[in-house]
Amino acid sequence: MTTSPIRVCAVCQAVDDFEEYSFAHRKGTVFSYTQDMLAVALDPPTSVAMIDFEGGGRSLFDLTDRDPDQVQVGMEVEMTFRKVFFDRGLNNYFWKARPIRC
Amino acid sequence: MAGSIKDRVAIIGMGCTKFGELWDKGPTDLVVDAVEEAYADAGVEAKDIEALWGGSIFTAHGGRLFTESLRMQYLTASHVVNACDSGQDDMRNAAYSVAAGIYDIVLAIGVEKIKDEGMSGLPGMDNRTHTHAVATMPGVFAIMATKYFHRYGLTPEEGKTMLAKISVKSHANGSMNPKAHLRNVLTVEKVLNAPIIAWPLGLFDCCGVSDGGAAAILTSAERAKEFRKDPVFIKALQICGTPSSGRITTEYDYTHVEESYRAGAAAYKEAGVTDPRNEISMAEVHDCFSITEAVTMEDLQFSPRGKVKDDIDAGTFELNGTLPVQPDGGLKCFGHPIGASGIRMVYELYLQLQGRADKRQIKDPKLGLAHNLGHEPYAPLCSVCIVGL
Repeated sequence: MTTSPIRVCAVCQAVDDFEEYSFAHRKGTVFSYTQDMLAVALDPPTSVAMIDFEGGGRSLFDLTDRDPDQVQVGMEVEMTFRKVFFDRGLNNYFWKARPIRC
Repeated sequence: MAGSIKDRVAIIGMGCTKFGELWDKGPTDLVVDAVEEAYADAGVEAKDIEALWGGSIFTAHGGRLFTESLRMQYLTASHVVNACDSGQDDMRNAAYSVAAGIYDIVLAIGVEKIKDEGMSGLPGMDNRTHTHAVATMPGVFAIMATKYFHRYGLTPEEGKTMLAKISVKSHANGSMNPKAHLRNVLTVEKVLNAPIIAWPLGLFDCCGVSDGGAAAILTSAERAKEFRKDPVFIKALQICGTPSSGRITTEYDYTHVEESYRAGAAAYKEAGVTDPRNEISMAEVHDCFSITEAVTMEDLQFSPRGKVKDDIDAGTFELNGTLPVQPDGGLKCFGHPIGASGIRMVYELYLQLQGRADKRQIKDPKLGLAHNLGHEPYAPLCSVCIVGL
């Protein structure tokens, strides 16, 4: 199964009229979060945050390299490409967010 | 130009199984038990049914579960899969077939044997690519609670206490309901001290995960009184889909559900309701989590934005309040067999309107509202049904 890029604009319904845009090096802010004890995780709780990016755009990310007690709304984060999943000999990597390092 | 369902279709019989961890029953038992109760209630037989719609997201894989369970003889049959709205949406489709004049008597069924999925909570449905965060359903609604507390300046203690009162109320109602899954009475202290599932939501902020079935028999308004003196009429049936923009654009505040608001506003317009807080007598809403119920009170225009705490503290939504919510215990206590929930909600409104709700009876209700919310708060599918005498 593959993840398709978004085809239709959620605001104006334009089709296939997007520009390549990288969020990887943009700063983000924790808009809201949870510490999820039910999600299966090697490092519980699963800290899941809705991240708003500088310049617009948002998505849900796992937080990594974080102290759960220090996570709060408004905390600044950066993106990091990390292992998310291992199954039958395959490592699966995707983006996570982590507190900005000083 | 949209038409209106108002007063064109009536409910003449309903049935609902006990909800719970029904290890000794199969899907067929739940379908048969719910439908047999509905037949008896309406005074009709299987041969009177002209078409059926069945709602289920895990248990059925086509209309066959329903026709096979009931051994229906070559009947028109559809299966509706529409997230947590499946039950309400299959009733909507059944009602539209009657309003269109295609059939006179139809059956709407909802069923789920969710405990057979082998999970506590819901199986992961939206993470097959492993390219986004792995939040559970409690998790994505907990994010809403965090934001609600932050936006309206509630400390964690104040916010959690507000939510705890919602669960205490639902358990008080559910304790009086012999068909409810969870019938224990709670205190605010017990809710606050429960284990955390997804911060800030604890165990008693989460609804039951239950097996169950429910059914409704519908006919035209013209024929309704042939079957009973107190049919319940459908006043509105609205469902609102989502552009899923709340998960990608920063405009979404994560403290309301736009699709709930719009489904409610459309339903009020269809039913001719201009002052929901005073005209709606009672509501069964999609309290998958306590925060969902809180926000839904604002989305349905029962409470002003950011002010639901005042109504919760005043007891507005308690059984003896001015606008009782979850008189049967809600998803919280009656339980949440997904495909059955929408019809289960209408079952309670139906009993209340007919004065048959026993210890839970609300005095002289006129209009009841049922609300479902499927998927996550930032990308949901919401439906609202209004019924009355």
